[in-house]
Amino acid sequence: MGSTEVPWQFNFPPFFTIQPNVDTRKKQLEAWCQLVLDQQRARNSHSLDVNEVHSSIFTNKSINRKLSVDGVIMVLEELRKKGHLEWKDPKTRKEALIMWRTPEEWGKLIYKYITGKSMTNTVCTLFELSNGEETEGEEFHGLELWLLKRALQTLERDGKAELMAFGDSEGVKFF
Amino acid sequence: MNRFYWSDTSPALGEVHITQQVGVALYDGADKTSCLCLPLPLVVYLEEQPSGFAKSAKIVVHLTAPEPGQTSGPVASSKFDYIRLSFRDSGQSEFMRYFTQAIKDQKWKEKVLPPGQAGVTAKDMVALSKTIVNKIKDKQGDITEDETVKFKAYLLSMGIPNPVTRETHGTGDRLLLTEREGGVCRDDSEEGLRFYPNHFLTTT
Repeated sequence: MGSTEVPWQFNFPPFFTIQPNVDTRKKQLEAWCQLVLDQQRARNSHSLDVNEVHSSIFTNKSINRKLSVDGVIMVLEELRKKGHLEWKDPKTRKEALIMWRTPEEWGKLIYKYITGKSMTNTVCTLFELSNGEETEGEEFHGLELWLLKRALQTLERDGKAELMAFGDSEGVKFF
Repeated sequence: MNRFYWSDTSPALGEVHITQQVGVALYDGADKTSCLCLPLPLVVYLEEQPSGFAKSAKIVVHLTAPEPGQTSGPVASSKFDYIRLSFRDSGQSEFMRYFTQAIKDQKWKEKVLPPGQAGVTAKDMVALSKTIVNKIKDKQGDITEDETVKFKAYLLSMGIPNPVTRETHGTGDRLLLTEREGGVCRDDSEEGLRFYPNHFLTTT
């Protein structure tokens, strides 16, 4: 596994059997969800391939255990319900987008930065926001455009921002 | 209940007197030179049943099948896979604490040799497990198969008692009930179906 700490569950054989007891299963799935998000964050990747993670994140060779494919789908569906995952192919469910921070969480973070800098009622381009010198060091610096847009759309819904276009570039106004 | 076997009352090599509770010892009548013994490695799970109206407090001891060739006891076969210790006087919770700790410590795993001989001790296992845990954390080289086997043994000695297989446990109905109640969880792999204490619910 990656450089993140291994949670105790990963070395506990029952972790790799979907538990029939509802309360137990809830705790088990929570732990798997967290593990997947931590691993994706460590890889700095928003892309997930079901076959690939089945052999990496969902397998522990040292105790000879592997979660079943059904189990993997169950975990990924939990992530989808929580807003952390989107199927690229909902019918076949082989590839997914993983957002270890949901668009809402990113939106809140960006808005906090904007209000902190007293930048409400100003306009900036999306490029400036994610790649400008001013935002270097911020957690959202370098955020991929598709995810940045989704984040700003959540702020739009709350009346805190408005996406706009000027010619070729896209921008945003904060309120 | 066929898990008991006859023994005398002086501690055998390696046996340690942990505690004694009036009203629970199983002497044969007035004879205090022999008593009934229950091998602790057979204990899978302990359940407390508090006292109620006209009911004494009890500890339900879930057991796995006896080792073949176990010394004889009062009963050759039993349809049950648990016994209940009834505490007519007080002392049930204290006994439960000692009993639970004894099962967790698994001191029977420490190889006991007459003085003067060398042997593998629990400390060696702890040192080995730390090496393996560090290897996993730092990804230093491969974990050998031998280390894996020993590491599994270490995990077991960490308070995860011997996993119980459905084959050795007989019908396992009681075990399934305990699973439904959240007391144990299952490990279903190509190695078979096993049950472990439900750490999902007890560990924060």
